[in-house]
Amino acid sequence: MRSGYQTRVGGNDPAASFLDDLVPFLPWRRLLWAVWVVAVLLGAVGLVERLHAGHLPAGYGSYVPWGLWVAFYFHGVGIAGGAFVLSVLGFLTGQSGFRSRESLRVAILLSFAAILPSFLGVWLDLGRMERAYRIFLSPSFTSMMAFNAWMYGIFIVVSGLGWLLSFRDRSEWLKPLLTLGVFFSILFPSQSGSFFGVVDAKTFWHSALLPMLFLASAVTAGGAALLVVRALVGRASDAGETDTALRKLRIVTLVAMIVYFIFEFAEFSIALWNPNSHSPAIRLILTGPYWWVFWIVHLGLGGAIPLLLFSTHSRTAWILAGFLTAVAFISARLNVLIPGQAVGEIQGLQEAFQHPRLTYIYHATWMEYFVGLLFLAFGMAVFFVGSRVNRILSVRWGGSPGEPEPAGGAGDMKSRRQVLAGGAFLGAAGIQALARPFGARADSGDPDSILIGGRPDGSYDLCDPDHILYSACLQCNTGCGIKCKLQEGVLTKIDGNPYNPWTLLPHLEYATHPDQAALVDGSICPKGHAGLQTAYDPYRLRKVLKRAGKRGENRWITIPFDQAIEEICEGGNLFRHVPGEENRRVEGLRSLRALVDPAVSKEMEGDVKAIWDEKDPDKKRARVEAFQSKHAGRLDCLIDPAHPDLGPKNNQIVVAWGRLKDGRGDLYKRFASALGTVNAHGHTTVCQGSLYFTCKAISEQYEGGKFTGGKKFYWQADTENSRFVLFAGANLFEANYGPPNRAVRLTENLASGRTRIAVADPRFSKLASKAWKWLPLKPGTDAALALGIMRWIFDHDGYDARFLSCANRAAARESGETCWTTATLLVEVKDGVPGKFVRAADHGLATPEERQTSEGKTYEEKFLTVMVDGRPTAVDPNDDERPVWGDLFVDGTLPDGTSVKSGLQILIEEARRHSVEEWAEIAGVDPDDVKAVSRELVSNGKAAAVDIHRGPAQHTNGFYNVLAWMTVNMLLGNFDHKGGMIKLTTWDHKGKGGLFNLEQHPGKTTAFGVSSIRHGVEYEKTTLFEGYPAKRNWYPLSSDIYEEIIPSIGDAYPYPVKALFFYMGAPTYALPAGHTNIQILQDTEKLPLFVASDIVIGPTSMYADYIFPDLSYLERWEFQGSHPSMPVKVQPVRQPVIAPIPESCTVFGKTVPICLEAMILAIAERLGLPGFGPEGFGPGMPLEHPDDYYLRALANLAFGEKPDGSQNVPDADEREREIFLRARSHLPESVFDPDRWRRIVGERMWPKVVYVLNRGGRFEDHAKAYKGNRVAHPYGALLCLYQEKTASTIHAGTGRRNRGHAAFLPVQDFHGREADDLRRGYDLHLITHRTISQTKSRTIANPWLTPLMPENGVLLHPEDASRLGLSSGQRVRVVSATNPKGEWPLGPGVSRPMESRVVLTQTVRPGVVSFALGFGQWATGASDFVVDGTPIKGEARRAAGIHANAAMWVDPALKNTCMVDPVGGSVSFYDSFVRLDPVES
Amino acid sequence: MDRRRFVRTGALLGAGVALSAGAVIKDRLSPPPKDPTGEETVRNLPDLQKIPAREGEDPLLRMQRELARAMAKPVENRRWTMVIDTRKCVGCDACTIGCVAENKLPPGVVYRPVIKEELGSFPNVKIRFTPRPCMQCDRPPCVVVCPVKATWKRPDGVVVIHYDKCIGCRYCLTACPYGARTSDFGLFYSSGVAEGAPKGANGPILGSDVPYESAPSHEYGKRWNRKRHGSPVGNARKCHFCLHRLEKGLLPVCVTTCIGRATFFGDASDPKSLVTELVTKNNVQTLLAHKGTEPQVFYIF
Repeated sequence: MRSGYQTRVGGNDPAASFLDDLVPFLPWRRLLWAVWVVAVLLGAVGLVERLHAGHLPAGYGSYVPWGLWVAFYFHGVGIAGGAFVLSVLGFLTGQSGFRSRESLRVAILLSFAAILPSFLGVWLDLGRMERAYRIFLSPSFTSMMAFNAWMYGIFIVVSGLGWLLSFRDRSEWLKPLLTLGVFFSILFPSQSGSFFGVVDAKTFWHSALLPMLFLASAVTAGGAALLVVRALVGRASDAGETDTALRKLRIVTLVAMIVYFIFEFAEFSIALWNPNSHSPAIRLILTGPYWWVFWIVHLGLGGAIPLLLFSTHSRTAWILAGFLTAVAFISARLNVLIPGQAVGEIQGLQEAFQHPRLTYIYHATWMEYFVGLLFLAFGMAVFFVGSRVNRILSVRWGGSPGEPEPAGGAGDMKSRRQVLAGGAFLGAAGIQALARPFGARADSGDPDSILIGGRPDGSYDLCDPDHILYSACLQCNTGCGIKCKLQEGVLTKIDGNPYNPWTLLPHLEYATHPDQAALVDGSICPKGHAGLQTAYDPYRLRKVLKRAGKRGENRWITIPFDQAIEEICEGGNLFRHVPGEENRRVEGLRSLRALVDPAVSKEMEGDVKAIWDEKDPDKKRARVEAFQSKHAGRLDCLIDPAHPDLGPKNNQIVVAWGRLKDGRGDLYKRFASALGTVNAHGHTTVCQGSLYFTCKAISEQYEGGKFTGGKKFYWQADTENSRFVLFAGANLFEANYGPPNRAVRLTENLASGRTRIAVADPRFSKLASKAWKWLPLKPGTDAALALGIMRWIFDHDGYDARFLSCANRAAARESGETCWTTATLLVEVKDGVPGKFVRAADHGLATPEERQTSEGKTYEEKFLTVMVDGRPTAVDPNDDERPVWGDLFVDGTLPDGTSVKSGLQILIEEARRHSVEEWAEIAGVDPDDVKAVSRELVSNGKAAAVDIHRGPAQHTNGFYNVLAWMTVNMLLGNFDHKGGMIKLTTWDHKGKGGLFNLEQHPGKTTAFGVSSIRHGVEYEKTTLFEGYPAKRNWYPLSSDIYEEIIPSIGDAYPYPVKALFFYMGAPTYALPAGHTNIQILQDTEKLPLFVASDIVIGPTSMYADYIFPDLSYLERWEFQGSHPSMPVKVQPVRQPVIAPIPESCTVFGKTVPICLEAMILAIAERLGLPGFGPEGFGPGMPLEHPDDYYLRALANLAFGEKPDGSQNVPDADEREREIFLRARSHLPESVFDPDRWRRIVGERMWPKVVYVLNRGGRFEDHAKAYKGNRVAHPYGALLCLYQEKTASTIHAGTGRRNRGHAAFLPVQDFHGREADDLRRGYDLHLITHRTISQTKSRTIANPWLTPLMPENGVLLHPEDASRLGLSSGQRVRVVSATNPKGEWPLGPGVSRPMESRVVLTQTVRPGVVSFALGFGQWATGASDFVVDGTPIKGEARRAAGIHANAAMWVDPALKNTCMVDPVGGSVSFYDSFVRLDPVES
Repeated sequence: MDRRRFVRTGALLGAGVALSAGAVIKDRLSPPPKDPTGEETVRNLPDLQKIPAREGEDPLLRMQRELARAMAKPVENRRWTMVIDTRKCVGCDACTIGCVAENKLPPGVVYRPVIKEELGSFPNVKIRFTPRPCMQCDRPPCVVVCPVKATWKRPDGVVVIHYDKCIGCRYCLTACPYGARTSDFGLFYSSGVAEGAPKGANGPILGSDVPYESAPSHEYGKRWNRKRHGSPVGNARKCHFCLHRLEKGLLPVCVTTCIGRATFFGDASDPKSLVTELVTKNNVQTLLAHKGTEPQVFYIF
């Protein structure tokens, strides 16, 4: 019986099988072949993909490192072990059905067919497949993996030997060997469960029951598989034996399965009844995304159905059950493997650094499944070939039981054994031989090695001064000092420049040798680190692009640099290749630059000023007529002779910029100046214009009888020394000129308790996370909060009375102050409205004096007035001899009956309009917090401050918000004090010391007339005055009104613009309602010529006619300047670090990389612009190459500001000069030519220039920052608490007089209407915030930063979410009253919806939604474009997230731009209300 | 006959068990792969002599001086420790990206993420920042699971990976409870970017062949070039306290670039070091202390 199969080998009906009898209708052989062929084919595809692309096409990552193949592996070894152990135990114990050696061999073959593919699986799973041998060569048996590999390796050898021995009837080694095989296969490695069980890190795995579960599942799957295989290979003639085996296997499988489920329940029960145990993994198994693997595959197909089938008496059903079990029990492995990994111990890890390979979610990919099929095919092949070999060997060697062992048999066996032994020996020796070289090399490692090994050590160049260049960052405008480290001319690492006070506190002394500084790295933010990716952005432009389609279509051709210059200068039919523009003539710069005579322009300027200064309308008209007749021959130079104050046609050229720093800025403005246009406009108002211009208004000085000379600047707190700071709308751990330089000045003080901070912000920022108090105010209510604080300060006499009473410089000095205010100056009040300061002489309180202004003009000084002990007293605020202290609160009349109030009186009345509680109510904060913060402010002496940034400024009431906060500081009297409000100080580079005067501009025409953004002049003075409202706003107090540059072109108000230059700006992206700008830019009628300078095709330059490639901040020169919180005098220098990416061009006969400077110089060369060329700065001072400017500027910087040269920096020593040259050896001559540089600055200054460049700029030592309790570089002037100048201006939209003091104003449109209409139906207040990883339109190019926040989303408070029925992660569209569709119209027929996911967070005030800036890009590499007919793909990564600026309100009165602050000029960034509409996805 | 078979079976099993147990015990007890120790590991580094130590100097300089002092000792007498003061951490991620840049980490590989947790509810909110470098455990669970002795704890406490030995099985990734090991799957930041752009120096744009990605990294003082699928592609990777920088007297980059000065590094066996001071004076904690891994990164919360 037991040899039935053997005896029948080669018999009559070899094909007849048990299965054929059982299932006669199923052509199962052909079926198997078909399965095999399909598996091989698909498997081959998978294998090719795996070998070709490595692990990239696989779905596993680092947090779920093991996937499908590892599950296959454990399933395979389980089947192998289970089948082997069952069969062998049956054989050893002589069980019927298992007694035959043939049945034993079938089981061994099955084991092989299961285990060999498993090994293939883990091998393919290795990251370094070629080193798999190391497991056998240098194993560590502390690793369950090595142990397992060895055990299974031994198992293969042992069972292989057993298989061979089974052909020898009398082998006495067979049974012992088989026993050993059982041991190795299943008992010792506990069927691999301990492989996972030992992993303490995974709670779900770390269970002693796991090995038992693995054991049970091995027996189940192995038994089931054996059952199927036995049925498959059983002969019809042997049906009885096979049937017996089947019956027994059925029982065993059933029992094992039941045991498995009992164990599994036991395992789960712990978690189910004790949720603190490993329940997350179990929850995942039961209800996670792969719930069906447990419920359907595991319990259903692997449990319930087989149990049902096994419970029948049908053999067919059993086979089906066995098949199902053997296949479905893979789920048991998967359910251990995957969920065990899918739960991290560290909460928040996958959100901390996001990448598809760093998630706890695993989905097997098609490649993994295909390769899985390959394992199946491989297993089938092993079994098939094994069976054939088995049959052949059976015929050759196999004998009948009882027959004497054939004589040759033993011999054969012997030889076989020898062969085996020999083979083993050879194999081992071979491995040894292979291993030796590695081992040998391992011992001969360099003694200085960190790791001993075959690989030689590599030098670390990055701390070698020869590989270091110091520069300044520009990933944001904080402009930290950077230390650029190069490897073979490639910038690979950026750290902080330790000479620069932004990155080290205190920074290294300036005298420190670069050899020493090379070893010290300062700190910079992540954007700073990633900056090299801005320089090496794949989308960096190398050639000049000319538009080849409609504006915004993003179709381009490359043209030679010289051709571009010619076309721009000369104009013509430039776009005849663009459909629709065949006949459009473009006016070139040459004809636009109509007025070129400096004498004429000077004269006209004077005449226009006279027109403006004339108040009487009739006389004004007469002056216009006089102008027309006087300049009759030249009226064609003017834009509109009827309005000569619009200036010459030159003004129709607008030169605009986004981020422009000194140096480059000097040249760009020089360019505008040489063109003779007044229109050189920056971007200030999109950042925080109203902060700058309010502080400008505060800093206006009383000079020549009026207020003038205010500086565009602002103050910040002296972070390092403040004891208490209230930060309002400032987020300096992520933005606001803060991260590296301000964080370090705060954190230690905060941790030690020396300093406390409070943060007023609708969003809980990272700064707020370190605050003692968070005041989550309603956006736009800053002034209310500030007035509440003022009210408390007044009520508690918390103001600095001594400081405020100082009426002039002398009083300030006597009081130990450097500044004084207008608090006590008397203001004339008419009808309850405060107006101008009382001029003493006008009221008989003083005799006027004839004086001269600093410019030498004669005027009549009438003096201002204060009350001194109730007596009106004339005062000159600038008097530094006779101190005058005025009465603080004055509300009375002068002897002549004029009613007057002191500035402080006006303020206190404003503050007392409401109680602290009422002000708090308006601002939406807790009054107790307001009181507590007020108390802190007044109880920390002068080391307390309110530090604000763009938060308060970017509203329609921005000017007054800022003024209110700054007024609090004035009440505290903290200006110029250590720990109080301070300002920046920079070293001059333009030639203050008299070395090279870079401001001289011979032959330039004076630019005059109304600017295209109508700034710096009062509407009422101009000939355009037509009553109120004006067509658009006028800005007498501000400049650089970004939101007016393009929209004013759209309205052709005050006049049409013919050519626009835009440098490093993205108003379309950065501005609120920036989409309005896109629509205008697309109109070639409104804007005939648009030239952009950009490093890539950016969100605004994509609408240009020409894009000139530019140098990134790592390839160019600039003087970065400083920030208000920096007490020391500095001038960081940005210098070329890497070779230029753009192509070169020739300008003035010299080779330069194509860049902004090249464009300027080339246009200047072609048009013969004054101030450029061989005598650009005058005789002997050419301006033909960027170096002509920058090197001289550097020499000025090194020389200092004293004409006697006493502020010279030291000379660089020999070693320093060596370093200087070596560190620049990778730069091409067009950029770095030491001889040229040296020639420009001269021998004397050369070593000093080297000294400055070797340190990345000029920096005063930290020790010089303070003098006693005051900053060494004080503001030291009058502070306008009450502002006469502001109070005398009129809002051009309403005709109402502006207020001259802090006040709380509602949000209004240009016509002064509150925005109730726009809010109706939209009840979420939209604000924005900055995240450290992005800077508006620029940093998306840096893939290093993406994992920190791949997509921004819309922050929403859960309370609002539940009110609106929104859930976390839901996709929404942001819509508003002025953009009800919620779309960005990007170009002809292209729009982009403003959609993103909702991010629920407690960190925003309910009712407020916010999004981080920098996402939702449509250019900068985010979209496809065409160059010279070749389509180039955008990168999807860059388009991620949302940019919801287009949902911000379009001013209902202005219609083509956002709402504006009519006084300070700021855009309204935080006033709009929106709705979030769910999007079906 | 049966008896003989029984003896043979017993002998085989016994030998098998004995060998296996022996192998495991041997590897449990055996010292880590040969590390240089003793005098040859002493480094006389430039210790910023020309930058005079001053009261109130940046802690970075103090720690750098201490680093040079520690490097002047044989490696086995150093004990590198990191202290993270989360009160000073501003969650800026500079350490994370500084590390990516320093070690030229490819996409999907990170050594030191900063975990941000939002706690509480409006208006009583808190955000907690927890940088998570490798803990350089004294009982590192990642080391024992390595089947090929490619990772071990150095005498100075740093757990290292030998990329040329690592087979990329990722067992260590699963064993680390902190998730501090990640696998290098061979990705490049610039691959697939600007597809279609003409190649070469004459193209209109730079194109995806950006030079910084092919520069070799300096980890472990060697040069590793990942182009052409070279190690560490396929390897496990982890924070190593910037050993290559320590050798040159530089602090780990996460320390030098910490804008809040929240990360401290030094030799815990030096009684005068800042880290010793911080660990002694503060109530320091370790992450997942219950796992018994004995981390050498301490947190001040």
